[in-house]
Amino acid sequence: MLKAKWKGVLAYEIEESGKTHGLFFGIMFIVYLSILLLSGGDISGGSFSGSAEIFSFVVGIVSVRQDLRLFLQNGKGRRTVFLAQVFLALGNALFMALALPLLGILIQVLASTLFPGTSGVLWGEFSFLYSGVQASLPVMIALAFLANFAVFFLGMCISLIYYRLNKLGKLLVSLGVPALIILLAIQGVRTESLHAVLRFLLDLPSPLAVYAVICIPAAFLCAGASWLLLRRAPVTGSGASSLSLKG
Amino acid sequence: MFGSNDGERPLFLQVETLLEEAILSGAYPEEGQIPSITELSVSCKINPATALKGVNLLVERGLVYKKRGLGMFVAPGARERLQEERRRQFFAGYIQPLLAEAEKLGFTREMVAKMIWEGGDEA
Amino acid sequence: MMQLVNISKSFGRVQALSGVSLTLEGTGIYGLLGNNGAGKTTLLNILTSRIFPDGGSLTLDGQPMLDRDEALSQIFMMGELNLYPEDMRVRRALEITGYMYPRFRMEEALALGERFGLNLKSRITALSTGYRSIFRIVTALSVHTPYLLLDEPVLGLDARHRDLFYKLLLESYGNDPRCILLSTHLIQEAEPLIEEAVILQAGRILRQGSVEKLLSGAYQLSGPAGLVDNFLGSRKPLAQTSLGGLKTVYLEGARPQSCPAGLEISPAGLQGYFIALMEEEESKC
Repeated sequence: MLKAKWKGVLAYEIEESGKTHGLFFGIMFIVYLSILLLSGGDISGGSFSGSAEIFSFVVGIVSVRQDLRLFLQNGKGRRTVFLAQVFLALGNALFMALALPLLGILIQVLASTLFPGTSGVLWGEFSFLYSGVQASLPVMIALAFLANFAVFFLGMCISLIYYRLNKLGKLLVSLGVPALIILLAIQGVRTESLHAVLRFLLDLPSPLAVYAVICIPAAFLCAGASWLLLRRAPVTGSGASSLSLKG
Repeated sequence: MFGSNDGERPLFLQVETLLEEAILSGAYPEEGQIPSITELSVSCKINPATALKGVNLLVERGLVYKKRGLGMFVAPGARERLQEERRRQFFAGYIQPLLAEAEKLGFTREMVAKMIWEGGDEA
Repeated sequence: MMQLVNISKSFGRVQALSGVSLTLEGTGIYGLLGNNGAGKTTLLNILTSRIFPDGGSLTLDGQPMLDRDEALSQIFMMGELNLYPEDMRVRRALEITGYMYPRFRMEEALALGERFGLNLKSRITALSTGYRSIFRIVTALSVHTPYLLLDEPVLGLDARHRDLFYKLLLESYGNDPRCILLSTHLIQEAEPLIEEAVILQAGRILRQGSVEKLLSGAYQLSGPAGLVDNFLGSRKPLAQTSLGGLKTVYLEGARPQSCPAGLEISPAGLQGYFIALMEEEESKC
């Protein structure tokens, strides 16, 4: 009985994602192909991870709001909405993790065939982490997966925070959170606690471990917060309501 | 004064009358099928339960019967029985109100009779 | 069976609903009647878990209903608010509803759309008010859930389309009897279609029950003002109007067996009864 419900939900998510992700892939390809052609084969330092992460962030923001409304209209509750977002987060991260290296390889192949003799192996996916040397494929995949997975939930969480807040709340958060971050950073620097955190991160065996240590807890935190915000979120004309975490 | 379908006859009675007229006029012949409840409800734009109520009145009066799985049919002899009933009600339904109204307006019985004989050609 | 017990909801200082208890069961066409602002849409939003009540309980066949898929999948509501994505086209929206509701019939939806002249390629947000209602109607009639809630379905529809809607609704109901709740302020139009009425005013249920029973317990009385007042005695009518010396009152109660001399008794119609109730409520304030 439950399987039948998920068939429909997943079909919807996959079809809609297919369109947006296909478009993203296509645009990225065209952009980097153009860069390749215009620069005469020099693609050093190019990478998609930035664009991918921004895209994942935006998908996180938009998808939860769209699905909340659509699912409630079509007889699905907020638990299903949340689980569908988790599915999307995984699928999206997987797509980015696999598509990016694939695209990178594609571009590199094109570079070496169209402009033989240029230093082709400079596709810089995550190269900033490895002092300019290209990371191995499995590592690239893992990094992309972690980053995009976490960033999706970040987007989702921020989207829900704003969805649940009234005008005053939005103003407070928009001003207060950056201010808080700055204050914490200053405090962190002053009390050396920020140094301790950075030292801990730098002591980790590899950049992959750093990513894991940051992204995995961040993803879970944001997902948890998102659920708390989602479970009583109203579906009405206006996007906002008074903030209420309890029922 | 409050709402314009105040004072109207209940809908299920209107359904009953509608079907009576159709049977009398031969539109629904004896042993012939009458429209289904759904068809009646759609055509009259009324709730099927109301349509059913109206039809059931005719069933109770033996003018219509239900054949399981097939539908509802006009009972044999229904037309004659309806005419009989109408004849019996003619006096109370038409003549008495006519005479009462005539009295209100000051017409005598003779004047009324004259009007009837002359076939109501009065302008 | 859907059961609401003592539902209340407020928005800030406005008490949108209080003490609302209601049972919807079996098959039938129910009317949720009330003026704009009475709380009808709020009630429907709570029924479909779009918003959460402040208090009270909702159960479907004994199980709690709020935000549960098992319950929500048995209900479909079409309200004024478009919850489909901004740029989605009609045909795609129908498809998706088909994904989410297994008993949705696409061929039926397409056929209904054609009856109304609905443009399937249009974006939902680009449709006129009337055609948005038509899109809603087409979807709603094709979903075939045990409970169907229609919030102001004829908003913006011209006379011909309204007529068509009522006929299609009855046809759909005849072919697939289910529990349909029609929420509207167009009481006169709705009266022939509904069996049971729930009259909502200022967030409270004023009256509920079968239309037949409600109306058999009310009537209009008119005649010379003096005679009417005599007849009333100390009783207060629901509402009254006067046209010169001719007075008409709306009363609740058993109809007198014989009509008092000089007075005329006529049965109550739902709209008139409703208006009279509103007047009584107003006079209480």
